[in-house]
Amino acid sequence: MRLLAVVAVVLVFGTATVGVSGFPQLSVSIFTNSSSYNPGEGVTLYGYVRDTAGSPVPYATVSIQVNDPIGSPLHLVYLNSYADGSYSGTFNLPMSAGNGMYTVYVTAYKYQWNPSSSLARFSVPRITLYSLQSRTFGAAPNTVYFIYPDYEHAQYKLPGVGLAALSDWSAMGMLYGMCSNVQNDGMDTNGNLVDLSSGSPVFSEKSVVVMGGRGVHNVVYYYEDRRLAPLYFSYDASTYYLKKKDGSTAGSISIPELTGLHKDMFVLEAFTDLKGNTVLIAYGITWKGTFAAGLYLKSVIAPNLAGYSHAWYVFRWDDLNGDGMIDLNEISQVASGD
Amino acid sequence: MSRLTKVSGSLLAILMIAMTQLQVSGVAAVPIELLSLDSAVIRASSNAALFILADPGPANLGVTNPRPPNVAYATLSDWTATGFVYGMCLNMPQVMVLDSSASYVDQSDGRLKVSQMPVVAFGGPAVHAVVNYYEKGRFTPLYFHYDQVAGQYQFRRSSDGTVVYGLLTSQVTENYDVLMVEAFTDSSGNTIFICYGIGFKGTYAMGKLLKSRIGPNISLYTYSWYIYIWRDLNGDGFPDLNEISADPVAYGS
Repeated sequence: MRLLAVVAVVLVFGTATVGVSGFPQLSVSIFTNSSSYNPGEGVTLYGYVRDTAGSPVPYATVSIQVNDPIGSPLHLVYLNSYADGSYSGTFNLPMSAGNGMYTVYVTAYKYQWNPSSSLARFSVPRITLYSLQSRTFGAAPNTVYFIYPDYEHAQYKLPGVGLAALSDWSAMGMLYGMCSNVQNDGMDTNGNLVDLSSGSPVFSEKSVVVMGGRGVHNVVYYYEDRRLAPLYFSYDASTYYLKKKDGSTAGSISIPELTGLHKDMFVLEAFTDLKGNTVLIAYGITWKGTFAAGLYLKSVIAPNLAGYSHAWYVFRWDDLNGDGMIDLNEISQVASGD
Repeated sequence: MSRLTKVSGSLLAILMIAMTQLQVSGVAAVPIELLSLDSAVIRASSNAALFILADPGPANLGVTNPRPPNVAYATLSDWTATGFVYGMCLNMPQVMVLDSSASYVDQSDGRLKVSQMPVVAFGGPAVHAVVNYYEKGRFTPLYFHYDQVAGQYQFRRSSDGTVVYGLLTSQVTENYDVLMVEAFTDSSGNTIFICYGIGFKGTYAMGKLLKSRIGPNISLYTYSWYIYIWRDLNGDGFPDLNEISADPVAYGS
């Protein structure tokens, strides 16, 4: 029976891209309620089935297959989308679940519609800011890479990534200074550290620390563009956002608020990438938020790191005394999650 | 009356000259071992050490603050260097302020308003009000000097003006810099740590050096000042640790 299910899923995925002309196209998304889990924890899978115009498609069949890090099927399930196009399901990871990146494949299909496929990923074990104590700040010598955004070699930046300002470097020293041992560093345009065609680090099973937004940092761009980071930057005509993978808002700040450089919003997030690297991303919408991220991490979070059991945190800085300088009592937490 | 006034005026002038000479000779400052960074700053109790960042100017800060004479706004890379040491501190938080903070720094000349505090001030005299004050008064072990005749950037000993290290101005480029760190106590009992490069990359490199090489072996640093060279061996413009001279090119007390 299990074998038949595997075959059925493989067949579904194998035909997912084959459309029948004249039939409308489905569009399916899939998310997990966390970017990482520990063995034995429950995993919630959810998403939406829509048409190409974004309208919900009810009662579509949704097949989901979760593969473990070596590609073996771990969980198979069939669900139906509700009237609003949504679907969800939960399963428990086995206690024997190994460390690494798990992939969730989904295919939605419906009679006289062309099917659609998508995927999501999560990692084992759970990664939180607290994980950085051992994986980054207390890591063995030369196992952590501090990657600065380059400010002068535009030819090595990815499309959509511009030159950084030196202000984007302002807080990196604080994080490097926290390390127990001597670590590596370099710029995001260094081909020995970063694949310059994608922005992905070239190494694996290490730690990465990056500061600066996706607009100036090849590596941050890569992690956000691939939706590997728990949060990503977005904006519209009036507001800057930090959004979760499913598009919901984790934090926002109106563009007029940033005028004058007396307010900002910043993110601190930890996760595992596809190469098994433990990643810390920190940045603000402006350089002050980025500096505030480093200052707050060192001054407030690090002394109480065990209390930071989530993967991501969003903070605001409001310049209460109007001096333009970031003071610790001017920083407040907005949201957190996994 | 007029004669008395004239005499008094002369005396006043003499007194002023004497005071200026006293200030220039820097007798009130005492060089100390760099290793004291460990006890004074790294192991300082919470809120005991003072980190003074150079004001980056209204375009960056969003606030326009006055500067003492001949002090410009800084680049934010100087903050990165400061961060290396702040990040090394074992007890949090520590006090971090701008050199344009009137609560901590006399805005007319850059003199500190605090006493008996360990103070970290990174950035050159051209951009850091506190460093400018100490160098102008010759309170620091070394001061920076641009020798126009020799076409050199020089570090000179405050006590006698001796050049301890100099290099042609043309040598300092995007791929080459000189970096200096020094420690001393001022007349108010503050323990001062200053570091900077001639260019911003030198300041950044000195911060990295303090964290990665000096910090782990701090007990060996028994002199008050050290000068190193950064040479961009791989040509990427980024100061790598292995590109900083293994030994100081000059040091002393």
